[in-house]
Amino acid sequence: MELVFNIFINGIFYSSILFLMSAGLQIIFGVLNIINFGHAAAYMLGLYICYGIIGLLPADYPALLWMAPIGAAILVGLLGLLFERGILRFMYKRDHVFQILVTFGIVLMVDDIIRFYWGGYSIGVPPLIDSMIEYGNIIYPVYNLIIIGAAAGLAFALWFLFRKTDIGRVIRATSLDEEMTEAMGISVMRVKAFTFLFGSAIAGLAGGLMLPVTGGWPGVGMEYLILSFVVIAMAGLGSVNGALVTALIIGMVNSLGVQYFPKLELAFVFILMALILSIKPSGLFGTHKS
Amino acid sequence: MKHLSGLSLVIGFILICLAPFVAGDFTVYLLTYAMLMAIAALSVNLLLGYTGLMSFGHGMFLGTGAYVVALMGKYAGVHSLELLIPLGVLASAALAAIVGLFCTRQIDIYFSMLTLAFGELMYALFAKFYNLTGGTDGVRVTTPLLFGQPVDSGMPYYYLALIFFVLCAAAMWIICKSPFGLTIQAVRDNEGRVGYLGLLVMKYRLIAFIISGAFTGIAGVLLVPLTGHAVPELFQTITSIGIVLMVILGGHRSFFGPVVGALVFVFLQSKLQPLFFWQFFLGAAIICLVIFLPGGVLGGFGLWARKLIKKSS
Repeated sequence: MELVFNIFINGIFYSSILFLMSAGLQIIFGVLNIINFGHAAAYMLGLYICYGIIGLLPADYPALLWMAPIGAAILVGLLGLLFERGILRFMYKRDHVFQILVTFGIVLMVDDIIRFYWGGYSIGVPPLIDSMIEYGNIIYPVYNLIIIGAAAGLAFALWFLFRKTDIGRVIRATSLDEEMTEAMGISVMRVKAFTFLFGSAIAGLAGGLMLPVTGGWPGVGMEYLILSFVVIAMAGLGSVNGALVTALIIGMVNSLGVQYFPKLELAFVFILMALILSIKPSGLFGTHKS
Repeated sequence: MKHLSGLSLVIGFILICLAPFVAGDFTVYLLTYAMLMAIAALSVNLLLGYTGLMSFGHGMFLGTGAYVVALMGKYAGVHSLELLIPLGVLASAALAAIVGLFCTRQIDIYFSMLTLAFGELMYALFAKFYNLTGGTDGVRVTTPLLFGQPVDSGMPYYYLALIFFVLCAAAMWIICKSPFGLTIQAVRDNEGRVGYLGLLVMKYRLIAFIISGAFTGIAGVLLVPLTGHAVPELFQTITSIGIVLMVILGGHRSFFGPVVGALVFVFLQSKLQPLFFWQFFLGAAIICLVIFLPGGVLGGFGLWARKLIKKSS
């Protein structure tokens, strides 16, 4: 019973991280039509900035610590905006592959900046809440539950944003037809900038929240980014709902794999992806033709 | 214009042939390394420049070739290159066939992302089965034999690499100019029309992918005796993107662009890596190149030469 519960809750936890990462990727792809490798940089910056803020905060007020991931998310969002305005906007008319290369270039640069500023060794902090939930034989850290809650909250917030508010409608309109949206008097440029800011901020938040769980080291963002690629390729590019479902599937598969075949956990995820993509090349929720 | 590029090709080739007599040991090492990477870059360009697919996973073929040498040496005691090269080609072509079956159904970014994912999967497998592969420490490789004779590092290995570089480049040149090569270029330019002609687009992409993987496998086989180590990092995205960068740096629109790119990249890397900020410069270089010099070094040189000719005439 505990085993089943552990596999389940670990799967959900893993899915939450994957969703936090891939949601931003999907939103950015939906509007900008760019696969943003820079997401790895945003995750990493979120993690390290969160570490920096925690170091600055007074240790006597544990409640204040929650400002760290939120502050990191805001800062990373603004840095994302800087990148979009400064570099990425010159790439909108170019081949996809070159857009990818540019966003990969920024990952390399951020990697080295982090190594320069924080050093090449790994960092870590204790959980912002170190209490455990105990129920019979089951013990689970509260902090991990908060991350799961954050992912669920994000999923709800995105649904609300895209379906119930005008901002969301404008974003959806832009992703469907840029020219038409522009003709309606909406500045597509601003929508793109805002979307990039928003997507980067989510990645920054994910990084900040994950700091106490995994710690950080230069290059940590890339590992999660590659798994998020698997998620979004399997879900179909641009679909946030798809990312949620796929993240849950992959989280569960991964959790089962870790439990029973620890050396092959990744292989299972990739075989699953290969199977789904060979049956439906556009992904589970995708619409593109290939 | 045509005479100019032909002339520079001949001069470049003569320089490369004579280089070990004038250059120091380290420069010879770098040149050997650059030539092997040039084989890989040419085969990546077979996909990027000619088929229109950007692979972010060609490191996996480099790694496959490398581990064929390392594991055959470690477990079967095979050190002769005349056996290892066909084996490496077979192994990487087989891997390319399997991976290609999934990847070549996709185009554009979808293709890039899938190749990247498969490359990382290979890395994970080779890093995790450490009993067999030595994990992240990798496997040491000894001096290889060719027809029973050991090929020492330095000048002998340089000429071996040169011979294989010329052979591979010639083979790829012929492939690009053959009807098959023209067909993949047609697939790149207008996939729909090729389909209307009754040709199976996916089949051509798959074959191009397998050929490209096999050539990269040769580069992998020859790379490890030079560095003395087969490491799983060869499979990783950073290696794959390094090769792509060589192609872009040299210019993916011309056949020999990737060779120039590999030379420039390897020498820049050896100068900059000891500095603290190597990755930073690399990233900045990628961004500047893509924005300001999309044709690469050769593309830029071609523009400049054309302007010069116009002025003089």
